[in-house]
Amino acid sequence: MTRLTPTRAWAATILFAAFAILPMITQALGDSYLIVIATRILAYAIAALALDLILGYGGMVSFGHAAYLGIGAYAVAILGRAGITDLGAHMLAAIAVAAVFALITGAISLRTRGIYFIMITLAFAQMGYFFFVSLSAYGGDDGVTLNARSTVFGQPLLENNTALYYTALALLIGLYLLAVAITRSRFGRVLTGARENPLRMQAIGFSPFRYQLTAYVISGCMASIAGVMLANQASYVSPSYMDWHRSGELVVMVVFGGIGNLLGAVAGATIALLLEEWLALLTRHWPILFGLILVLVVLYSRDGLSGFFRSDRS
Amino acid sequence: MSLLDVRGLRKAYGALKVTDDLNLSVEKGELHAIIGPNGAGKSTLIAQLSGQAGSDAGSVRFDGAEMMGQPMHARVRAGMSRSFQITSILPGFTVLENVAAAVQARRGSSFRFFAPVAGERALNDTAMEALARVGIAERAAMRAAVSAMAKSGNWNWPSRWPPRRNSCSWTSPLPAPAGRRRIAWSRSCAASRARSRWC
Ligand SMILES: Nc1ncnc2c1ncn2[C@@H]1O[C@H](COP(=O)(O)OP(=O)(O)OP(=O)(O)O)[C@@H](O)[C@H]1O
Ligand SMILES: [Mg+2]
Repeated sequence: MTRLTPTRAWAATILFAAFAILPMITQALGDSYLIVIATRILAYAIAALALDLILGYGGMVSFGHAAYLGIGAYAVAILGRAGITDLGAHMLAAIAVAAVFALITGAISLRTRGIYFIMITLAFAQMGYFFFVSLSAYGGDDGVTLNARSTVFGQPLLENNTALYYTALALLIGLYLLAVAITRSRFGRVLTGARENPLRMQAIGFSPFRYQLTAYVISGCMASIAGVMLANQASYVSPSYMDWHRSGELVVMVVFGGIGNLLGAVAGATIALLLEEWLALLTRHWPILFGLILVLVVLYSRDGLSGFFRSDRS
Repeated sequence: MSLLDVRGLRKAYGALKVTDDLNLSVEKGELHAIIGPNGAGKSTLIAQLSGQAGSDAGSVRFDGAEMMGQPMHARVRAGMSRSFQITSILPGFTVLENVAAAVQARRGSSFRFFAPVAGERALNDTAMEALARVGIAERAAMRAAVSAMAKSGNWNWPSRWPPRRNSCSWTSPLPAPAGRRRIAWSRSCAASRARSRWC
């Protein structure tokens, strides 16, 4: 179960405060690229948070969570072309489609366990990928460039990179607090219990399936919001958002930050993407270095990066 | 009518007939023991009764209601419960949380997403009461996996708490009695504890 220790509350405050003052620092440095990377980081942090909810707390290793990034991204592209540009409408549409997709694929996937669950979630995400590849009206494989970013109250406020950044940050903080509340709630206890010992949970009168499926749907909806943010950040949408590589990257972020640690997921996304940017400057073969670092982190701390900051390990 | 009424229960693993046309009825307040050598099918029977394992044929009526075809959690909610031959706990939870989860299953909806469950006095109080009853209240805050009792694997958690008006509990291989009152429950609990060496 999650215990919101004072340390964790402090760590969260510090991390989010650092994100909050970042635009001031980049402005002072006169670096406008950094804020673009940082927005991407926030979007992925939302997705990693969503994945950690089911992977870390529910024990469901989804290898298809990129599907929800794609759903969110295409919600922006498709509604935008239809003349609906409001951010709220984009998010609602993304959430609605993600919920239906998660409900159907989750209900089927949850009939399996372990490696089969991983494979079937991957398969469903690939179906989504190929669906959008074949959607020639939206550029098929090449994707499509957005005419404009989502609007807020009819105003093109998000065209400003800093405004988009703070919108993503507000969403991340809100979703983080929501996820923390969920893990500490009655629902969260049943979800964690079903991961710990599903037979035990049945023996005390719970049907793990219902709770796992609900968590799966919540997670999918959260991840679709990340997709909405990504599309806006890049002003571009393509099936590559749903690529299985992308799903793998999300799992890596969660593992990096420490499975079952929501703040760790945020930190994991941050560090994974920063490393990627930084290593890419050093060498063309950066994935090798990245892989090496990941191996070392997992080898030396079962709890990922957050494990290095924990004192209460037994 | 019997509290538990089993008719023509069957189960085979391939050619091996483990449960072969079993009939059994248990009245309220009765305590029964099912004995047999290793592999006789005691655990299989308990699994069939609890719904953990399916049955090939037969009927299991509990308190007048047909339980066959019902999943395990539904049978538990109807008042049937079981414990396990090999200790089964939620290892990452504290001892208190283990029991509080069982209380939670019977008190209100668990589709509540916002209020912190750790702050629910009613759940914790009932769970503490159950822990005190079996003499491990001082371990409440300990991780279940760390708790020495859990480790030794020879003691069953008070998972059948709180007793229902109609409840029937057992521990494999020894079924405990059915009873309408708490007295009966605690007697059954004491009985299973006393015999836990053989579970
Ligand atoms: N899932 C299974 N698949 C195939 N055979 C099984 C299965 N489960 C049990 N059996 C067989 O069914 C028979 C009954 O097993 P069961 O575990 O019910 O015996 P038991 O009376 O509980 O034994 P013990 O005293 O060792 O606990 C055994 O021969 C066992 O090998
Ligand atoms: Mg047995």
